[in-house]
Amino acid sequence: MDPMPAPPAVDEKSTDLEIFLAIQAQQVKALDVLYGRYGRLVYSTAVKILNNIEEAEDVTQETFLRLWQRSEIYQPKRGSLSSFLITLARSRSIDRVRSRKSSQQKLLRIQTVADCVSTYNPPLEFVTVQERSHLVREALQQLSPADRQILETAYYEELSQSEIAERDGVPLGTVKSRARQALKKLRIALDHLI
Amino acid sequence: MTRPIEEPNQTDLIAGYILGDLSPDEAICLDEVLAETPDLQEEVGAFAEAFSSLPYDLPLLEPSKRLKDKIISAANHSIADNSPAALHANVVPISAPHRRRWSWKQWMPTGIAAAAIAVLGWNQIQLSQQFQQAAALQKQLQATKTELERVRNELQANQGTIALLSQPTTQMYPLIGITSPNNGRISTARILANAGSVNVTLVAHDLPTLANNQIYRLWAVATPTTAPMYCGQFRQDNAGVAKWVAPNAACTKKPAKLLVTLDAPSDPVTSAGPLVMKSSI
Repeated sequence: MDPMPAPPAVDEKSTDLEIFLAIQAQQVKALDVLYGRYGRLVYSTAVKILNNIEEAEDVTQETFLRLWQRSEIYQPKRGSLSSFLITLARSRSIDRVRSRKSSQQKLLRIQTVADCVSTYNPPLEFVTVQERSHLVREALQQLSPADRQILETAYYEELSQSEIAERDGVPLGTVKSRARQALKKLRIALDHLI
Repeated sequence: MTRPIEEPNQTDLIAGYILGDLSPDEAICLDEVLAETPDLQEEVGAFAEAFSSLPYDLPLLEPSKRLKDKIISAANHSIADNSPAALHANVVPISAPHRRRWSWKQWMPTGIAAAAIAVLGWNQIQLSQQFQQAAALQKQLQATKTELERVRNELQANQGTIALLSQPTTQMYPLIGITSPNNGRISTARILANAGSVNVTLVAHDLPTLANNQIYRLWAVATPTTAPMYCGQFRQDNAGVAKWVAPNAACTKKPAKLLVTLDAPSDPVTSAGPLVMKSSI
């Protein structure tokens, strides 16, 4: 059987998919380019959740090396590479926070979400991180400060909805309903990008 | 692009799934809905993508250069560990090759000579190895000390900004560049301050470095109809961070807009130079 042709060499202008295929082919340069593109985003997400530079660097390293060593965990047709990296970093960061609190709960959403999405090719893939940041900020501006706050709490804090309800003195049903409405608004605001 | 679906109950379930707050009954319901309408799986992906876009709103922090080196070095090592040569080095033969039997008479003179050579040679090899190991350890120790010192300084430099970010009372105002600098990147920045505090921190990315005769100035517009108020001047450090004390606490009392201009340090604060950045809110 003929061996698979090696993917072409990648550079800063390569698409995420081209970079991923080169990573599958174990081209170190591809990992370098991917890190240059998303390293700060992944790191900033980890810092926000962990509030600790050393641990955030560990999580960033684990995230990129996980993809490098087990590239089969990402399926390009099931979501964007950036979203995959961010979700993996978030999941690992929250696990660490929970581990600090001796909690055994684990966030396993990443794989289940990836499993149930069949095809994906978001326009968000084709813009730079800077442009994406700008577009996401514009979308977030369409949400009220309260909606933004509840989404940020759900995303960055390791609290469950019940814990948020207890902390804020609000019924659990209200917390759930507000968070869901806020996420629906964000999804609509980002409709042209995803 | 996927279109948002109209059925509110279904979107509620999908949003709840992404947020991880589905009750057992809702989870069963969503499973059934997805089984009946496979197209909805795209919508699940779109919700997941929207939720995971939140970090794009964060001020982007620069990890240490050491981190990239560590990642690339680990990747290179993993390739070396999986190379055919490395794999062969680990191969243990299933059976030892057949050896010719020697009688003790044949073996003794050769054995004594070989043993003497082996002892002498072994001592030399050991000494040489110990020397090399000591030199390598010394080198490694020195490199670790230098790295430790660098990391300590970096940590100290960033700790203030991170502490500020983690405070619930800290207000954050995103800024975006007006024109692209030569490298084609758009400048972005975050102003961090407690409402009504005169202490202002700016974390910038791709904001052009200033010449000696230039300075950035921050201006706050309290309401859409009021004139910009001078809020101090700054020059970011190598990490893109600047800290200064604003001349007026009103600068941080939830202004409608923040502007950054490029000025000369000697320019009067009654007028502003060219606009460089503005708040994106």
